[in-house]
Amino acid sequence: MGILSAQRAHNVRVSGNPEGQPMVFAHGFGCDQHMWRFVAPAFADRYRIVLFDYVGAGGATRPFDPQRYANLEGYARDIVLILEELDLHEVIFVGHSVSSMIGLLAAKLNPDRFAKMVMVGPSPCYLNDGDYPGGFSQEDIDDLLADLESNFVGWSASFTPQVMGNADRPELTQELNESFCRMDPEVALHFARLTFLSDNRTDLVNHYIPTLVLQCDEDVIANRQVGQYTCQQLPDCTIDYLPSKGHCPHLSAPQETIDAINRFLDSSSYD
Amino acid sequence: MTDPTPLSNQAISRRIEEHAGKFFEVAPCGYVFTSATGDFLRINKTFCDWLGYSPAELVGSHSLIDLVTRGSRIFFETHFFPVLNLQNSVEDINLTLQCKNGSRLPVLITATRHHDDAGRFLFTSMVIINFTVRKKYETELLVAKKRAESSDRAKSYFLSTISHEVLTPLNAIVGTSDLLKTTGLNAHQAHLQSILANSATHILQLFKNILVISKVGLGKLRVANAPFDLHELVRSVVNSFHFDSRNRGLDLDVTVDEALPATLVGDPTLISQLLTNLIGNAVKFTPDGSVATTVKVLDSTEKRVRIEVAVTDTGIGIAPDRLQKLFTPFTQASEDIHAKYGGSGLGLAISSSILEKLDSRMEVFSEEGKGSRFSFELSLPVADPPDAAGQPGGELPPIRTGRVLLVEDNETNAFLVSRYFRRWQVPFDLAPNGAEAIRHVQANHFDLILMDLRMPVMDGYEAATRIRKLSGPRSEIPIVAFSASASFTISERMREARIDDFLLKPFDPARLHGIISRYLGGPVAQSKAPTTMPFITLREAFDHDARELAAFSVILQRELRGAATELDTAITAGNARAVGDLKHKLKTSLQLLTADRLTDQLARITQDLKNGTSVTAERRQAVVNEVRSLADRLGDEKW
Repeated sequence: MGILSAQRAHNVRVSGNPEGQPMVFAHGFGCDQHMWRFVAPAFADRYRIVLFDYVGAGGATRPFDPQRYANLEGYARDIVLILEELDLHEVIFVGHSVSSMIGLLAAKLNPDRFAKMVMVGPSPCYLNDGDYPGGFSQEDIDDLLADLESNFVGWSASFTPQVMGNADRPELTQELNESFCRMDPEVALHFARLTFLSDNRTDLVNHYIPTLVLQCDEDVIANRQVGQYTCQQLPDCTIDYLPSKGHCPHLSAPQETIDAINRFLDSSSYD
Repeated sequence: MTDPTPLSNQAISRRIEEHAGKFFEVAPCGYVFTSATGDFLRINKTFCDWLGYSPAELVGSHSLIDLVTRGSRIFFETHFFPVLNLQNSVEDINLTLQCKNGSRLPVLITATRHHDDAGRFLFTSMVIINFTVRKKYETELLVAKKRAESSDRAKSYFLSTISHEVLTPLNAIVGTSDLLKTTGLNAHQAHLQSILANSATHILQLFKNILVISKVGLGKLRVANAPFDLHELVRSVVNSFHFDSRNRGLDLDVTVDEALPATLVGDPTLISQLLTNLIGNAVKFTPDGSVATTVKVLDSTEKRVRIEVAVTDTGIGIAPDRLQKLFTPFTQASEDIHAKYGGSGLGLAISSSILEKLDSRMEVFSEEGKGSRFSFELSLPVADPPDAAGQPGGELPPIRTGRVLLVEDNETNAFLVSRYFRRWQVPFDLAPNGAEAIRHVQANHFDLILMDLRMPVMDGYEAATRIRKLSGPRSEIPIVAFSASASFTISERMREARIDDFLLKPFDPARLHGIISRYLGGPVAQSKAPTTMPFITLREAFDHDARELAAFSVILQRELRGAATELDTAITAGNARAVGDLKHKLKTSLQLLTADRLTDQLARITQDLKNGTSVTAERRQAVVNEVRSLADRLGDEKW
């Protein structure tokens, strides 16, 4: 039988302290594991760092199967497969944006492997619904999908590898031959639809894993109210606010993000 | 008038500076400087005019994202911003901005992050192009493109689905007529059988062509690399036309260069399809005279050979102005051709698609009224000759042991398999779906379950999963799946459902016999002489796709090396359970690698350990070494 190893299928890269507690970083919609490059290395001394790409993103080789990925749970199953294949336990899962919900679903599939969770800019539902201020209307999402399609041409052009003028960060040069945030346009569109049209609000209340919600002060994708709502619904949650603008504090405020995660990890040692 | 004193260079430079400042403001594109988070630092007049704001309204109080429509904000935050931060620049990203009066402005943004010599971030500069007109055209183009693609794809899917649907019963017809031949027919019956066989083969060929066309349309046509005997292949294709041509007094000649190596490596299915199409056409359009098939060696080294295959006829020929139309699907050289000779007009179009895949092309020489010559060149690797060819299903030895449950909803397939079972004297029961299969397994004892994956009521995966959850030894019955492909998704689902093995559909009788004998412990047909190509099962499971094989071999090697170490520890510790687990874990891999001896060794060691018999250090070392050497061989293999 042709068995595609989950590690190869998802371009899994393991680094850091081989004896350390595993820390799995899951990228959000629109990018790939490179998103974590300013944050993940800070944990390499203490933790075993696991990075991967979702289907259709970065260096993932898994063939896209619309049936398998008919909902976010399909993506969650891939995470579980990776954890099982690497035989990881006591996992600290760090998910950005939609990965917060994918991580939540993965924990629902196999709760025994997770110890803690960090959700960076989570939103259980992006659409407005009565009193719930998701932040977006169906028309907004349609606009996004149109943008995505329109950008496919320019997008691929933007991702040809190029030399970066970063004299202060020589460690980045080894990535020159790779490009960031490569994605399969068709899969990206599908992922966008799932991400922004899913509603995981009812899943929050059954998530008993200690969780940190990292909320940016000004985030137009996942607004403050949504972050607070998420944390209120989760049975064991702490919320921390980052004085950062935007939806990607791990890129715009990496040090603050690292500090907040460390505070959370150190505050409650696992018992 | 005398010229005033000429200006100094310095003065000119100053004026240029002044003018450049104006250029900045009134350039036909927007110029914007922002902070790291996108707050406006400086904006040119053009950009402000487009949006209907004054610079004072924006600088210091707004950032770019405030001007982006809500839908575009998502794109901005999830794509534009991350990539700009990761690679320090982005080019031509399309966002939609909201003007002061509420109207929308599509723009293309090219942005660069600037740093000083110490690497400190200074600002982001952006060049913004008004995209309104282009966007309109682009949208229209995109809609038209999507419509065209989806209709083309729908057609291809339709063809592909229909062909697959037709291929199963057709294979059943061909297989049944094959069986019929072995039942002692009289001369008249034998004649009828040969008509049945020929017609069925003819339609089979047509649908195989349609399948190729649809695969080309979907970008799914793949070339296999298997060892094959080209001489034999040419002879058998030509032979298949004898019945037809003999009645018409047509000569079918075959000339194969003596220098042709016995075995080449290539895609025998595609090459046979090429030949069938060319010879089929030649026979069709040659009322009398001859059709000559020649294989000439043009060039050869020890490793590779370049050949020319040509089919020359003395038929009606093609007018020069009609030659080009030949290669368009469903188009014949002229309408009256169809009326007179029939045919689908697919053959040549497909043949050139196939040749394109094989890095070659079709050459045509034709003279109206005199005949045509179609030829192509191929460059193929030379292989060592294989030992034994597969045997037709009727001549395989009886198995006479064990009981099989056949779970299959397709009646023709079920009929065909059961015919072979009766021939090989294999006792069996039949269940039409997964739910029935479970009832059978609960009621009776079986030694093997042969199961289709796609069935109504309950599919194969579900049934296998449920059988594995039953109590007692019945949960351990080996399950072999019928599968139309060995794709990763399917095989992964099979693994999840703990299905032990699979058989590709449409199945080859010899393979069916082999798999049943293996699980029931019956006689193994003369397949014991291994093919000269190592790891043939593995190769076939991956359709001889070198890239997939190379990648998968790495996984297998890692698995084997890991297992060798664990095995060493487990046997040393006398841990029967751990050895048993490893045996189970390796089962599929060892089957793929046809490492039957190793499987047996592991089974015996597990049994011995269970019985409390200790395993000597030599024996342990031998089996561990064998696992490692298997990994080594995989590592050395050229895919």
